[in-house]
This record gives sequence, structure tokens and C-alpha cells, in this order.
Amino acid sequence: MAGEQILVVEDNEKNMKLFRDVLQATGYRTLEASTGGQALMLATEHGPALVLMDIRLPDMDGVEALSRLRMDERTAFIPVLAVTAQAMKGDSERFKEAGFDGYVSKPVDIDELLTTVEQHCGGRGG
Amino acid sequence: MEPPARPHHRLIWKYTVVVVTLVAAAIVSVGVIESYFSYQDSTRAVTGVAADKASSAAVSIDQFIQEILGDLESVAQPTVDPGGPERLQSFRGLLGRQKLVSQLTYLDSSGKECVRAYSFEINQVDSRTCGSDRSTSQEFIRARAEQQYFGSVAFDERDGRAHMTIAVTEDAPGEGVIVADVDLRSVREAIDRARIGTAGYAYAVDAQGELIAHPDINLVLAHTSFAALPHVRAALTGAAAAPADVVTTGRDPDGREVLSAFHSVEPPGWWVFVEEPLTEAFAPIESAIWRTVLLLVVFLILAVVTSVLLARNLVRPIESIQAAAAKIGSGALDQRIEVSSRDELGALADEFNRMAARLHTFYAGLEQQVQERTRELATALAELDEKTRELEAASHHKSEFLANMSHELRTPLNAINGFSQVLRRQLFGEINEKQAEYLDDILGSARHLLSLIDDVLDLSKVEAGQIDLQVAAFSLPGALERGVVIVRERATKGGVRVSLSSDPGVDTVMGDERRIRQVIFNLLSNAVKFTPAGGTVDIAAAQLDGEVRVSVSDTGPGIAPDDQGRIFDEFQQAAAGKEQREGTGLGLALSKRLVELHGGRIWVDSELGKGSTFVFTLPAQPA
Repeated sequence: MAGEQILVVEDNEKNMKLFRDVLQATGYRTLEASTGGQALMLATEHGPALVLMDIRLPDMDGVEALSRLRMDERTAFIPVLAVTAQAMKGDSERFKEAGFDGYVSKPVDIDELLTTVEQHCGGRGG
Repeated sequence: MEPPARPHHRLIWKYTVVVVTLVAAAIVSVGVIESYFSYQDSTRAVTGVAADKASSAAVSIDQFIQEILGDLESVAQPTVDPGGPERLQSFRGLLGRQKLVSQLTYLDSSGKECVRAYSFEINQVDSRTCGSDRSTSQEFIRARAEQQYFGSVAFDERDGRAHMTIAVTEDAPGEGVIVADVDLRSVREAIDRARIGTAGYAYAVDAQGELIAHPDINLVLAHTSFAALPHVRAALTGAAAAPADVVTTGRDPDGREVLSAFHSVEPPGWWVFVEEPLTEAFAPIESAIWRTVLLLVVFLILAVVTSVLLARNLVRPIESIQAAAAKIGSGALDQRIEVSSRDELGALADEFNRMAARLHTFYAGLEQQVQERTRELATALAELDEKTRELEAASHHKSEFLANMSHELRTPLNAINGFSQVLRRQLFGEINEKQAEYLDDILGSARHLLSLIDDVLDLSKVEAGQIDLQVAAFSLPGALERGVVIVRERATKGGVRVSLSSDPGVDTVMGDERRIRQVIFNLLSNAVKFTPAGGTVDIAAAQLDGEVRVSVSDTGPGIAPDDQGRIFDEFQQAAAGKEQREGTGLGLALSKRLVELHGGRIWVDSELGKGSTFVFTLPAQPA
């Protein structure tokens, strides 16, 4: 909990602002990426404790970004949560199958979000 | 099913047998009748000839006898001197005149021979006038007694010539007897003339049956008697006196069968027989019969050949009609019959051909129609396919659009909801009561908007057939309980009592549990929503007619009959729903689709002011 760094991948400015403000207000440090490419770069560079990954990104799909993170040994063990507006029934299972460690649907419930983040911050499987 | 094949007999043999039988019967009967009558005629002719011959021979012998008798009468005139020159003179005249009398003798009334004249020594006269006594001779006694006397026939030893003694009495008053020796060559000639055919012959016998004349002179010389032959005896004894028996059959001395005709010569009591071997007599008749038989056979063969040909001509068109019919029957509709005869069979063939042609045309038309229809059907199917693809594409686009829209709506909704929550939780400073109330309103509206988005998405998925039911066994009472738990908080807040009752028989059912729970929740939340404080909501499950029936009853305002049909349509709400300005108007439509996907039904029983009961069923599960 003590100032762990979370990489937020989100292309919508308002939502980015919401996640950043909430996480910082809770005591986390944040890294911000608005594209998949940026996210990969930042994750490699900083090795964040957790990644909140939007699925629809301008340059690539969140699922693809995840698989690239998994392929790089430096980022392979960073837990990644899917945060998506693709909230149809059955989607959460689909994302877990794809390799995400958790799933939060938009619109997010702040309490649920913070609970989930706290659960996964200690490392993968934590 | 084809009828069992009957054994077929060939028509041609039937016709042939019938025609041959008829023709043969006609020919044979005509032949037999003809032969019979011709036999009769021929027999009559043959026997007629024989009888005529016999009769004419008898007549000529009779004439000869009468002539001789007449001659003797002419010299039997009494003379002054019975044995005088006057008598001699008349004897000489007769002997000169009649060559067949070779000797004349005059016996006077006492039987003494007075005059004797010989023809071979013309005019020689034995002058032993009234010399030897012949008063005891047969010729004297019999002639004196019967006026006439015919002696037995005698034969010259040297040349075999037959001669006999004939005596007549002198006309009164002398009553002498004139005795003549008569040459019988005329008899022989008459007999010779009377022979018939080539093997036929005639003969004459005297009253005792002894031969007088016969072609075989040896028989005559031997004094053969035919009296032993039955037909001769019959004639002699008069047993065959009846005219019909004048012609008869008998056997000659050699035992051959002969046709025999006879006639008497009276006097001197002789019989003339004309005979012919039956083999010869009836030879023409037999040959006529054989001719008839031969003709019969020839005509019979002709009849058989003709009737076979006739029958073939008769049967061949029938056979070709039959063959063509069989071919048409087996599908060769262009088959035609070739029958050229201009009769009923030809007419039948023409009619048959017409029928086959019409059948062909009709069939061809039918095939064409079927082909056309098939083409039309194929076209329609292709069009349908195209439409289906278009519809699928449209449906796909619609789903994609809805998914996109859902995503696009959720993104700003995330910000609205998130920031409101942040403010409401006072993460960045205190807010007053009014501000908190407004934030709650914003959050409520956001939730409403979200459920609206979810329902639209679900409904469109159901309509596009994109929902796959995850069918498994689940506990229906459990699902009901969870529904009740979810709405209880709101019900308690609104002063509505919620109760659950489930039949003991209701337990596990097959279905998509999440979707059924969605339906239960939908019905329950509607009921709670529309039931005023102090009211009740009952949810019950029961087994009925093999289906599970879940009913949700409330004590709400009820639904007008007009609205009851509409509320299951999209975006249709009853009056109460509109007033509340809450709910998406999609819940019942979605519930209906989900229940129907499970093979069940959903409906409402309601009366304005008396509450509503929503019922859905799930079909019976296989045990």
C-alpha cells in the first residue's frame, strides 16, 4: 500500500483523470499511458506493481497489449486488470481466459475498484 | 402394385382351331353326304344297267322262242293228208326260211313219225312215212298235254353248239305233233350281248338250274348246275320274285362276290343271269369316293393354311397393339402402333395412338411445368438465401452497432458515475446535505441508464439469436429465493411484504439458470415497484400438467385489458409504469423472449384495482 506504482492505460482523458485522482488520493503512485505502445514502454521502464488496462485502445487491443507484456520477461509477472466498457455478460470469463488477473467493468464502482486493486497490488496471484 | 400375370394363351391358336374345326366340319359333312348319295346313285345306276341287260337278254331270248313258236305254228296247220306232200312242202318252206331250225318232224296223232325234213340236207325228206312209233316220247306226250313242249338243251359233241327240241301240237282236228330241233345260237348270242363291264358275264340256266349258256363252254358241256348257288336257287324257287330283288348279290362258283341281276324267260322256264364282280361293279363308286376323300383332304389342308393365315392377319394387329401398349406402359410414351388395316382394329390402333399422343403431350407439359416450378422454387430459394444473408448482415450490423453504442455510452457514464461517487464519498472534501442528495440522484440516474443499456443489448442479442442458453439442471426454489433476497431491501423500504411459496414437488429444473433468474428478478422487481405500501407480493412455484409454473402476484393497481397484450412489447409500459417514469420498458419484452427460448409461455392475469399475477411456465423436463 505504501506508494506502490500503478500503470493506468486509458485513452479517455476524463476517465484517466478519475482513476488517477482516486488512486493518488488513496495513496498510490500512478503512471499514465493513453496507447498500448506507451503502456508497454512504461511498464518495461518502470516495472509497476499493477496495470489497469483498458481494452479498446487506439493502437492495439488490450488483450494484445497483455500478451506482449506476458512475452517480455521483465513485465511477465506484473498483474494486469481489465477495465472495460465491454461489459456484456460472459465478458469477464473471456478476459480471465485471455490471461487477465482481474476484471472491473465500466462504469466502475469506486469501492469495488479500490478493493480489486488492493487485492492484486502485492504481486500476481496475491 | 401390379396385378399377377395371368397365363396367356395365344389367340392365333384359338382362332385357328375354331376356323379349322368349322371348315373341316363343313367339308367333311358335305363330302360324306355327297358320297352317300353318289354311292346310292351309282349303285342304282350299276344295278339298273345289270337289270336292263338281264331284261333285254331275256326279252331277246323270249323273242327268239316266240319267233320259233310262231314259225312252228305256221306249219302246224292241219292238212288233208297229215303226212302228205302238203306238210312236207310247208316244212321245206320253213327250213328254207328259218336257218335256226335244223330238223322238222311230224308225228301223227298216234305218235307215228310221218314226215322228217333236215335243213342241212335241204329238201331231203325221210320218207318213212308214218313209220316209227314215238308215241311214248316226252315230246309227243307233253306236247299233246300242254300244247307246247320244250326239251332239254343238248350240245353237239363236235362243235359244242346248243340245240333243243321244241314240239307243238297240230291245230285241230288232226292233233299231230310237230317236233323241231332248234339251234340255240341266238340264246348264246343274247347271253354274249348281255355281258357287262370287262369282268362281267351273263349266263342262262334252265328251270333246274343247269347251265344253258355260259361264256365258259366247258361248264355248259359239263352240264354244270348252278342250283346250289343261293342267289340262283332263290330265283328258281321264286323266293326272289319281288321286283326289288331282281338285282341281288351273290357268289359265283369261284366264291367271288358278284352283283347279280336275273330275268325269267317264260316259256321255257329259263333264267337269264347277268353278273358282275362287285369289285368291278363298284370300282367307279369307290374311285369316286376316293376322289372325294382326296378332295376333302386337299380342301382340309387348304382350310388349315387359310385359317392360319386368316388368324395371323387377325391376330397380328392385336399383337402389335399389345406390344405397343406394353411399351407405353413401361414409359416409352413416344411409342406408336403401326396397324394399316382399315377396320375396327385400325380404328382401335388410331384411338390408341391418339391416346398415347395426348398422354405424351400431357406428360411433357407436366414435366415442363415441374421444371418451371422447380426453377421458380430455386429462384425463390436463392432470393430467400439472399434475403437471409442480408438480414443476417443487417442483424450483425445491428448487434455490432449496439455493442459499440454500449461501449460508447459506458465510457462517459464511467466518468459521470465515478466522479459522483468520488464526491459522494467526500474523498476531496466535505459536501453539504443538498449536494449529497443531488449526487445520489445523479448516481441513481446513472444506474438507470446502465440497466437501460444492458437491457437493450440483451434484447438485441435475443432477437439476433445470438444468445446461447447454458442449459443445465438447477434448483428452481433456490433461484426464487435469491430473487426475493435481491428485492427484499427495496420492498421493505416501500412497505411491501414479499412471500415465497413453493410446492414440495418443485425442485430441479433444466434451463439457463442466469436467464431464469433474470426473468424472476424482473417480475419481482416490477411487482415490488408497482405495489403501494402495505401491499403484498407473492411468488409461488407449482407443478401443473407436467410443466413448472411460476407466478408472481401483487396487490398493485392492476393492468387494463387493453394494456395486457402490449406490455410484453418493447418500450411499452402500462399507465402505472409511465406514471412512475421508472423502468426501461424492456424488462417484460426480454423476459418473454427468454421464457420462449426455454420453450415456455408467459402471460398476465390482471384486473384494474385488484392487482396483477404474472405467470411463466417451463416445459416438463424428461425424467
